[in-house]
Amino acid sequence: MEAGTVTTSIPSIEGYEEIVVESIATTARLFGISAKKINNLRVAVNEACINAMEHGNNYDPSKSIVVSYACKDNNMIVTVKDSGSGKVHPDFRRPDVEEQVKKFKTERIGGWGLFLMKSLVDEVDISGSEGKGTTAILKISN
Amino acid sequence: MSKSKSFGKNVVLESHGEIDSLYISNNLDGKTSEDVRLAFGEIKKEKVLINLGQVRLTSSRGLATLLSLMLEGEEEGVIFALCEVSEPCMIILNTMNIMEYIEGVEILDTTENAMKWLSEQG
Repeated sequence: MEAGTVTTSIPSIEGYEEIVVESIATTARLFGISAKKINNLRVAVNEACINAMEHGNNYDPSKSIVVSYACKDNNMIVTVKDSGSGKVHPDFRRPDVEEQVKKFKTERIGGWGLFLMKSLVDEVDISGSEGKGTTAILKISN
Repeated sequence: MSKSKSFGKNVVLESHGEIDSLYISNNLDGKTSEDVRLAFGEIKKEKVLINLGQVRLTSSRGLATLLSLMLEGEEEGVIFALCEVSEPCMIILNTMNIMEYIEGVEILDTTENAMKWLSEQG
């Protein structure tokens, strides 16, 4: 199949992320990406979409998440863009899960999304443009 | 005889003898994790099986909520067995090394083995 770019827009309503996750997984399979990489990519894209809905668009259903993806030369690149403030300071460090477990009664366990994305794809980049939203770019290579 | 109760579309709590079994399916997202929280509120037994075999997608927040609920249950003496853990859940559990930090929770391959393991506890 000839390479091309697919762009999908979803509302910031939890559940819609599954539409793009499955579409991306299907595209990756058609282009011969390995099953292990696709499974990791599904989780990473899901995290990127949820982050965009939550931190970018504050779950405002009138605000969209725009997801673009393309497969070319054994690489798949997924772009997830929100329409939030664009102010980002991404921290990809491993969260201290042991400490979170110890303090589970007083502090929420979580904040794993960025570390998961970084761990599960070959390259990740998150950048923002003030007033124009935040863009996460995920790349896997076969 | 077993009793069964549904919470939302993706969560079912069943009771068999001395074991309560929680079946989670589809997308373990924020909404489903709130249904899981409601189901945990109705757990009466001290041995609980959690079947994740039909979870085809999960957010880290959904899994983190489940982990918090299990830690709360452990404080009250509940023993948990996770079984048939689907690939998306296992990817997050492994990447975050979660099983290293929680004690007394076992992951088993099948429901039967989880039931057997729970029966042997306590």
